[in-house]
Amino acid sequence: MTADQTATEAAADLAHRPAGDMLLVTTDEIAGKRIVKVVGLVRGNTIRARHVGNDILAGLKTLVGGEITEYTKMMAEAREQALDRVRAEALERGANAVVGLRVTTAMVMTGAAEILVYGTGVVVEDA
Amino acid sequence: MKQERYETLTVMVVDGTASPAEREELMAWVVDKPELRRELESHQAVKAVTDGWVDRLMVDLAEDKVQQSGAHKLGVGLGLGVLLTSLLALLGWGLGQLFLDPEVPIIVQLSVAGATLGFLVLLGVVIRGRLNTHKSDKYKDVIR
Repeated sequence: MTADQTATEAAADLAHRPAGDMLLVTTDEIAGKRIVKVVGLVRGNTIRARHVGNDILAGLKTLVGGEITEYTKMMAEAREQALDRVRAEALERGANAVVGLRVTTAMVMTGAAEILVYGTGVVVEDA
Repeated sequence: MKQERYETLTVMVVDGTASPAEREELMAWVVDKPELRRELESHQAVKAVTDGWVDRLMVDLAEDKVQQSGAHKLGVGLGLGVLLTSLLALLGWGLGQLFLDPEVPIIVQLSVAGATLGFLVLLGVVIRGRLNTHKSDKYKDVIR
């Protein structure tokens, strides 16, 4: 996504298409479908943090153990946003599916979640 | 064995509600029928997986119940409120002492005042930005 206008157009396009239209799969091929065109790499990333209150709570939870829901939520938010950005870019580039989807994470700063999702945008048809 | 009886016994055995006699009756029926044995094993495998899901979901439900309880929210809000207010009061008192102390060089006082002002301006900018985007942030409701 390189320009606000492009992002807005892609978002508007997304809003008019059923969520099920864009098929995201981790496999290189899709059973029952035939790849007729490869549009190339599509990716989406985000870095999200929670407010300082949640960081304090999360720190305290390390004393007692168990799930740190504050950071579970943070990771889930980042994952969903990154996936939506992959969908938006794939749509923008004319793809109707993404194959070989991968999700990676990195640590840019303490208390923040970076999620990068990438894959290959393709156009598929029923086989 | 009639189909209806077979299906009833299968459901009871898979669910674990069959008596030993009913279980024996079903096993005797399928023992020489590989296809039915595979079907029963398949049902039992699915049940094992879905039982696992239920267990996991129960953990999540228990966590959600804790997170959404009024006592939890009140405790978190009160605790964070008191903690942050106290820390801010302490910081304010420390800064006040710094400016009231005649032995502190004026350059230090000006530098601290400038740094504090800069920090507050930046804090205001990020808070304003967050408030503007918070309403349209559709990801804030994602839980897990």
